[in-house]
Amino acid sequence: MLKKHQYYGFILPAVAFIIGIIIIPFISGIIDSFTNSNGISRQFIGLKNYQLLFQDYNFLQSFWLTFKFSVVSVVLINLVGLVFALIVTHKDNWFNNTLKTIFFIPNLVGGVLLGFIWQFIFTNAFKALSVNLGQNWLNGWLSDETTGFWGLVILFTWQMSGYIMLVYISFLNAIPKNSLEASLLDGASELQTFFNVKLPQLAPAFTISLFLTLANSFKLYEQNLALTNGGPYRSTEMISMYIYNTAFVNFQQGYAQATGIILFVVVALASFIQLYFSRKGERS
Amino acid sequence: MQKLKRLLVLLLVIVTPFLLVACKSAKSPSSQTDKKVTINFFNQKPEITSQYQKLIKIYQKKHPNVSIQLTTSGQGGGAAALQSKFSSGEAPDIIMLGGLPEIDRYKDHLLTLKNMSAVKNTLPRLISGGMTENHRLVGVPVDLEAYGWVINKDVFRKAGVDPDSIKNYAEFVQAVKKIDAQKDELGLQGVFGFNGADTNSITSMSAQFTSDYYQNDQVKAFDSKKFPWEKEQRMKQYLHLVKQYSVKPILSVKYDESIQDLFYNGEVAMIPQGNWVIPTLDGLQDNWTKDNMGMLPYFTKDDGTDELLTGSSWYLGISNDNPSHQKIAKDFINWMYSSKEAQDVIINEMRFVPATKNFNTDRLPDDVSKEIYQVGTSKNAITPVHKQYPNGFANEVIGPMVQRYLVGKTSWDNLKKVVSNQYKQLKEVQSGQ
Repeated sequence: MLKKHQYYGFILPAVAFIIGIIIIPFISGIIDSFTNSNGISRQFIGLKNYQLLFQDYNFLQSFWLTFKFSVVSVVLINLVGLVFALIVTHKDNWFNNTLKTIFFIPNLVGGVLLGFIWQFIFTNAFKALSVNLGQNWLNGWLSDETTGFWGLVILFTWQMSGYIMLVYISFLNAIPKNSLEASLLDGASELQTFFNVKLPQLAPAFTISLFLTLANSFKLYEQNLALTNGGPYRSTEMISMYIYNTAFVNFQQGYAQATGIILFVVVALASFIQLYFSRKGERS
Repeated sequence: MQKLKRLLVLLLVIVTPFLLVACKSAKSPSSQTDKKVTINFFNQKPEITSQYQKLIKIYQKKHPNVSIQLTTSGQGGGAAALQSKFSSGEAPDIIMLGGLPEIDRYKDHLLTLKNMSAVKNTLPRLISGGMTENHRLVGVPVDLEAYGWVINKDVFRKAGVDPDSIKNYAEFVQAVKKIDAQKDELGLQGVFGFNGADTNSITSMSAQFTSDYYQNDQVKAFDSKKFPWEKEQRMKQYLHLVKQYSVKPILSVKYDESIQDLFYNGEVAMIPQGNWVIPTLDGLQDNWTKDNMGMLPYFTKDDGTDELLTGSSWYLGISNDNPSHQKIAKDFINWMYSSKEAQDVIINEMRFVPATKNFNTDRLPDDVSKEIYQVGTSKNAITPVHKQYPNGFANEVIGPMVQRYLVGKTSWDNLKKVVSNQYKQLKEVQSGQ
């Protein structure tokens, strides 16, 4: 048994760091959101930042974009991740194990680097393809609103799917062998086994994966920065980038803090709602 | 297994003291030089870091008890990095500042430079670009940069167009059309290599149509709450010209690509840049610019007096946070602007055109630099004002709006409306009203 002072001794460093790095900046951020701070000097201006925010076309646009992006990415990543997991757990052989590694590798590469790699693919590689194959629709993906958006989705799906795959794999492997064998004996087809035996047991995996992808896609920044940097004409500027630019390009840090607080509230709410419904789904 | 573990632990125990000693010995020289005064120099132009290092080395040799620490941060991150220096209480002593909005942000931390010898030599026209709102002088211009079209003379020669003969907008359009007609024979992808992906180039282009209005008074430009539309017709005409004759898709052309691929390989005739591209081009091939590079102005007045815009994007200031460092900081800047050996590094290695009076143009290494110095010191010279636009206006307002316009996603009237509104709004928010 740990003695009380030992117990405190163990948690104290962690608590000190959490207070210093998360709690204090969070509180000072809330305070800043009521000022017109430019990072050097500040004056208290009450709720004006929040008032202005809801009339700010660029804020609303980037928020809506982030929302669209999150919905599309959450669906795609979980779908792709699940398919990957089913492929690699289908049979236990060297080929599937290699595949597992291959699927996971994108996740080991940092976001900025991934952004630059895909930027090269979308601009140079796609351009070469379009010239040689005469497929014009492949040209200039990152200089168009719609394809720019899908470029981001592709990049993020490519990066996250491997990670989500791991979550699904661990849950798929935890399904008792005898229930699978029983369904096989009962003459269930692959599809029937998947929908009636495997899927219901994956409910907790969905809770985790949905939470991870939702939170991550709302916070997306470095991939956005490296791939499109908001372009063309700010049409792919997501909320995190909007906040950064307001704070460190426009030097309107009070305003940026207010945006940050709104983002915090929305992400927290969305995560809670999602967790609530997923847990409910798990129980039934 | 147990043995292996013990062996590992033993190994660690043996190695650790050596590691610690190694760390210590690496650090110890700095403790001996404590008597030295260390000055911090914050540089926002990454492309000239090594040349600044060289200048510092020369200066340190002459002043053995001074050590100058160069910090470089740029490519869009410079302003934010500078701010974090200030808010963490490590204000640099010499600061490279980009425009009056940045000067305004740090005005309480900046020293008045009125009596410095470097200032007395500054071209009078450029002085207002280093002032606070109430005309206190806090910055010295870094160099003289020219804004216009950088042209590939070789392409012009082959197309049979003499760039020196172009004197007004109509003739410019004619030249563009003539080059365009021979596009295939010349192997061009377009007449212009307009890097539509970069909001910075769009912003500096816009200065061609807004600078005249302020008559070189940068403080007035900074104070202004409206975007001047006096030359909107010409701006529109130029944008249409670019849209029609530039490499497509126009918004996917990037800065580096436009210079190192398109322009250098002779696949375009013109790019919307200035003399800052010289080191890059000469880096690709020695003396490339000597025969191949020229510059053409924008024609906005059409009365034969149109010239390149010339000004300084960057100013050097000194912070007042550390009084004991001020004298050395001043001395270093004065030295950079007056001593021959420092100037030689600046003009021959940085390829800068000095922003000082009475400079002997024979010393400048190339014709373009000579021409720029001549234009810059003439009495009709005009300073570009884009550095005085409110914070964020370049990247978040005019850049994206012009990009929209170039691909037909917005009308001119809407562009005008949004640009005017946002200019006013940003200016008001940032001046604390």
